[in-house]
Amino acid sequence: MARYIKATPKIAEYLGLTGVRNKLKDGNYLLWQADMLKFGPLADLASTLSKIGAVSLTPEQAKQEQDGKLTTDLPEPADSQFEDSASEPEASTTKTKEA
Amino acid sequence: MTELERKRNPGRQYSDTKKDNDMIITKGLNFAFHTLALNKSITVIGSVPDTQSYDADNDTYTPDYTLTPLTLQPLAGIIDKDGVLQAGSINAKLINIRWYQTVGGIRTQITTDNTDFVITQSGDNAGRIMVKKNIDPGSPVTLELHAEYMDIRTGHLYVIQMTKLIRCTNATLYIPILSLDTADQVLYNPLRDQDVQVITASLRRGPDECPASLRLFVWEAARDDGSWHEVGQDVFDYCMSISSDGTKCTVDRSLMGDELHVRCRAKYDIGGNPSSVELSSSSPIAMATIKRRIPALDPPEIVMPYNIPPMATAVSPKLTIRDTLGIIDNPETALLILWYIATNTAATPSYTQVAEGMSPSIPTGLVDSQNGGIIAVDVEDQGAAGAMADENGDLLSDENGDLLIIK
Repeated sequence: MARYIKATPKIAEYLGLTGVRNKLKDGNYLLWQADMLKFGPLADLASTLSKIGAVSLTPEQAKQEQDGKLTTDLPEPADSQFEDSASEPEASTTKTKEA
Repeated sequence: MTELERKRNPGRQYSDTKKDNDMIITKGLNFAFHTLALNKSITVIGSVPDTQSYDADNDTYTPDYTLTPLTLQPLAGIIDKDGVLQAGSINAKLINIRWYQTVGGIRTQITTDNTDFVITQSGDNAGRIMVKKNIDPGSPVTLELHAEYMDIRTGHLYVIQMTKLIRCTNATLYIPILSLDTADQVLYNPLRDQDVQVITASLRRGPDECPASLRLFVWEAARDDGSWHEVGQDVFDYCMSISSDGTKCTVDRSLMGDELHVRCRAKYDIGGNPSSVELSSSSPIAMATIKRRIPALDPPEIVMPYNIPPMATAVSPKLTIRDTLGIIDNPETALLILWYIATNTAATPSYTQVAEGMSPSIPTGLVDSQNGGIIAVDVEDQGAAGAMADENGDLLSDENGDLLIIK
């Protein structure tokens, strides 16, 4: 199944995609899985996401994120160069807003 | 300078105010710019491809352009052989940038209020378009760029046009297949076949019947002009009725006319809301045609005594009509049987119609006492039933508003 990547604006800016990807209501960006190829093969997607502090979403989750029905917090990036100064250090949690 | 020399040297200019002996000779000149060499292409920006796939089993597009848009960047560049203009991109200098989309043969301009697209009108990325809608698997979208570039050396306007096809393949593991429990073409013989035919639709995903909650059948019939309408929306649909669950279409073939074209399309939604689905050319579909046809009949057989009593005022012959399957039991349901009698003369007999039906009583008034008479029968197809109309073409109905049907 295809995956969508929720990433910080810093990652989107790093990839030069801020102008061509949808910005979510919490300020983060929704990227396509192949955008991660700049960081490494998709077979290593889990470690890539850990390194840059992003999460992988199913199409359904991505739709809910875009609609504002779901907000998935991003983990702290293992690689310090991808730390977003604006983000608060917080463990990864998932919140589902009530309709 | 003679007039002949003037004609031979049209580029030269002569001053009439000067005398011939002090004339100044001039000649016009201008820059002859070469035509600009234009190069143009459209490229996909980023990793989102320009081809989607659609999985109806999960109602999922991959990639989903509403989540990660497709970005197309037209690239236009020039090479000036004269070296006046710098070679390279002219995107920032493009004017009158317009995009059009063609879907199903219909071309429309993409305007700024169309939220499915975002067009960049200025800057180095001028002409860029973001596609934020998904493509119907059966209806690829052709995007067409129209822009203009002004050659500042000459004022010449270059028109730049490029097209890009965006399509969606169907990646459904089990594509829903609609089928009807009838042949594609059915011949209806009103003398042999039962009038009512029930057609049942079935939507299957692979080996399994699709759950009723995921699909909705839409039955349609064709008008004489070839257009289709949903059954029940036309006054001439009196020969058809749809079951409450939509799976069966009951056709009274004795009322359908000479032929009936019926089709069924399915709205299918894996999410369980099929009524929200718009029918399209890619919707599952099945069709059937029913044609009324009476096959060739054997010559009818008249059974009647050759000699009748002198005082008989009428005779009642027995008629037998056969087809390839044998005697037809009730031929008057579809056949018109007309009886004639004529005096038996050496000249061509002059027949008079005197009765009709399978049990006629034929008067013997034309039977000559010397030469006798001739009885004839004519068997004709009554023709298909139809709605009755007056001389103005207006349909006639009874007191309940039901159409009057005649044969």
